[in-house]
Amino acid sequence: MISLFLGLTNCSNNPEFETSEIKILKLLQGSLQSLGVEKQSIDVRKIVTRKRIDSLSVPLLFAELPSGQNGLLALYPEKGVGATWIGADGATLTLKKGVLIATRGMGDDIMGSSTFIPEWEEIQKTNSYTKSLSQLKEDNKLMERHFKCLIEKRKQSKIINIFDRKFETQIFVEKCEDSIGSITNTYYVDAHGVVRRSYQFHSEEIGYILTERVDQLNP
Amino acid sequence: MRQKPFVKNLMLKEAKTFKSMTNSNISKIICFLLFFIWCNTSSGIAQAKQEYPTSLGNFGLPGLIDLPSGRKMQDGNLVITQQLHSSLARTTLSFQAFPNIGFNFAYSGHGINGLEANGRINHDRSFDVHLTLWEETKYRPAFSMGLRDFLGTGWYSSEYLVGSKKFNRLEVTAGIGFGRLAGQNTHKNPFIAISEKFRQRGINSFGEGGSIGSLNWFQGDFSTFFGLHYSFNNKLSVSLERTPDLMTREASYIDVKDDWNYSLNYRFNKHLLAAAQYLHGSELAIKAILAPNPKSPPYGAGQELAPVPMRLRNQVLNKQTTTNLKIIEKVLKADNFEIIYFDEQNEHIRIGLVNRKFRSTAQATGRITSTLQRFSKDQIKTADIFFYKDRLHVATYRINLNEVTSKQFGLTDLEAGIKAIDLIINENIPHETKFSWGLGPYFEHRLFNPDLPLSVETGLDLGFGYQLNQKIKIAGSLRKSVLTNLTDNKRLDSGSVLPRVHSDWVHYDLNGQKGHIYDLSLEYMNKLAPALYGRIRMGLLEPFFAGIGGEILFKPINSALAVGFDIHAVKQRDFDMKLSLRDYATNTGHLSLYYPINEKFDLEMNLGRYLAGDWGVTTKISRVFGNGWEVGGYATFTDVPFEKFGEGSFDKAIYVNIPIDWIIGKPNQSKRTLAIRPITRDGGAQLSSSRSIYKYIRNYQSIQFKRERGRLWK
Repeated sequence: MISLFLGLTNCSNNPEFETSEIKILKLLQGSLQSLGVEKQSIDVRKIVTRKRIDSLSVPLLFAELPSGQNGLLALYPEKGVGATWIGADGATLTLKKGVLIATRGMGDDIMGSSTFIPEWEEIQKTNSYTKSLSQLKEDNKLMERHFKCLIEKRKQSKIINIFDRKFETQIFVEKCEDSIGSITNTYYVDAHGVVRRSYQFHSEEIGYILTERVDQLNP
Repeated sequence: MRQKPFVKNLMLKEAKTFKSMTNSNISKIICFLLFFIWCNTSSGIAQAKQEYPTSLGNFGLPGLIDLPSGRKMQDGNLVITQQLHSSLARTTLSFQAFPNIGFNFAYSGHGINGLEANGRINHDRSFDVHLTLWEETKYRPAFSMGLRDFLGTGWYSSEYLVGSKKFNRLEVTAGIGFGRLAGQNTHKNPFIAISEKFRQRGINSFGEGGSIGSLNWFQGDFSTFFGLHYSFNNKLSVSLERTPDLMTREASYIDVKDDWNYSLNYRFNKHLLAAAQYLHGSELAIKAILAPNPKSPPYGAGQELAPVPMRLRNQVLNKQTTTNLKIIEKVLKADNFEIIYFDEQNEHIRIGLVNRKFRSTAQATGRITSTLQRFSKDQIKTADIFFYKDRLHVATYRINLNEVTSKQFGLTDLEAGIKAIDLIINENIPHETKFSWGLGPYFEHRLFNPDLPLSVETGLDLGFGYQLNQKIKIAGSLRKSVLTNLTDNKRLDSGSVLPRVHSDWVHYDLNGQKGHIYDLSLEYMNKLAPALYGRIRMGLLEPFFAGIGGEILFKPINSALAVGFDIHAVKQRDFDMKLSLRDYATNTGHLSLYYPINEKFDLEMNLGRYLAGDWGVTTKISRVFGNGWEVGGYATFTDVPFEKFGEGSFDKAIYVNIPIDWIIGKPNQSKRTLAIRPITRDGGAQLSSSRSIYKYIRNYQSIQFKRERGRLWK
């Protein structure tokens, strides 16, 4: 009834002529209409098969948040500063050589970053370097975190299973510290230098994101 | 540690039985609290790093119950409180405007069986200020001083110096008070050593109220006060205090049996708190605190969809040789941009558009930039983005498409490659929709009438406009009330001795009920030169006045300072707000200066002649947040003496602008304004619509862009 009342009492033929009351009521109307509509989160693992992935022949990235929300992301065409992957919900992850450098559409996004992480093949045992992340925080100000990092290449390789396909990978564990705290990222890198799986820190609010490169295309 | 739940229950029971307490019980409470400190010592140490929120008192500023504390609120905090007991209803609005200075406005209804609304004896407005001199350190307490009711009738007139120190979960507060806070066990004023003026507290001659009156701050004897605040956890806390306030002003309706006050507080979340209180040994009270922090949006930085990523341009293997206009249009349309024109010449793109989605110009610029960068051909080096609002060209940003590429996901110097420029463009803008209209509800409210403290009206507003060409339009709106209690107002005569230019508002409220023309005018508005804007209009300009006039504004886009001038010849409209006019006519005009003091504060000054023929100046200052919140106030002083002005002494108001995108977490340009204007009189009265251009262009200027630069690539 409220929705009907609001619908009847606010209308216009030009957005410039909408009073702020009309705009607010439209928002309220939208909120009322969305009440009771449950947000459905589909578990991609249950509906996507290896056969389907291979038949698509396009680069695909699986990503999952600690909340369990997951999805498949497709690669934006053309080369950018990094490789930007977009999900069905419009959120993007931008990775550079498999390392997360930015996100969008995820709330408290990583707006930008810089890292001096060596090339995977250059890391023999341990390497140290610096890494910086910036996040959009309160009052629309960017908060930067500057980490000192140490990456360690584990001695033994590990076979991992991604959507029923086994990949032999080398494990790299990256430990970074700043004045606020420490984070630990883990990368599973195959013989081609492709990060097949990773657990990477996003933010205090979201936590660690799991990524899996599910297709078998050449990098 | 097993004892904790048991002891908590004991404390809750104790809180419920406060009513039956006498002075002899106080020692028991203190013993209980000391016992708590002792038995919680280990957990206290374990949680030593846990920060308990600052306790807020009944006056909206940091405090225990009625007494202040030495703490301060977080910078930018906004707090609304409502306290009720049988003989008091107090609403407060507090704001931490500076890191160490908080302000409070309170509206209190006092008494029982009185003649005013809800049986109150009187209604009183008061302003307080709380200045924190230093924060707590390991050995030093937090220390503050403050003035209560320093701008008003002086009902609560008092001053204090107070310190607070935390010992794990217990906070101890002690201080000295003057004025009302020097009621019992008084001592000689220590400031006599500085001046004899402090020996006797002068009478505060407040005149018509609303002014500082005669200064008597920190004068006369003082009393000591103290209290305790104990946090069981982040949600539950108790406070108790011993107040020196004798409550003599309330003696006719409050039976003061005890000088101890108690409060049990429960915090539902970081924005909402409720308290049950037992005051003066005789009154049960409840209090609610709503504390939205403008710096802390409910949905974080926003949940909008991602912009398109930029590509590496001029790649040897993958050159882009054509501009894909269709996809540019499609992407920008998806973000609710209306493209007015687009053209491409050699190495340059020019695009004119209306932004209908993003409140943040920085974010809108980032979206357009990334779209043009990705889908224009490699040969294009620069793009000029022309922003329009209601067909007025309000700003231009020049983008270096190659330079911005690395900035989208970069860390430093994110605005490199983006420059605000002053340009004028003689473009004939198509206007397909000549006739436009909108039908919707309106809401009006009036505050602070003692018989009717809050009156509200809602009804239908039909707005319409006809665009004759890009620069000239006829626009207006009709209103018809549907539900109102504005008509219950029985105070028809304002008693004003000035020309009644605004104080007859009650007659407009009553006579406009059958439906009225809110406004109807012919308007020309244009950008006259690269940094010069002009507007001329005539007709029924606003509900109370008709006439002819205009304004010009000089505002280079990169300059902080803007200068404007407006002048109008007006005649008062009849109370029914139809086409007829009353006899009163006048000329009014102002020279205006607009200046953003820094990234946090905006200043506006208007000097000139007001509607009642008085001359003076209006000063407006506002705290502006990077996310669109604005908390501000203004005061007008004219050559009308305070006693001639009448109640309130001079015109003033405070206001809060709340951006809707802050609430919903998605881009939206709407804002809601909460304005509190203590009283509407005739001195310092202005046309509310006389200056519009700055409001049009303000959000698009480079200072505003910088305030929200964090959203550039969001």
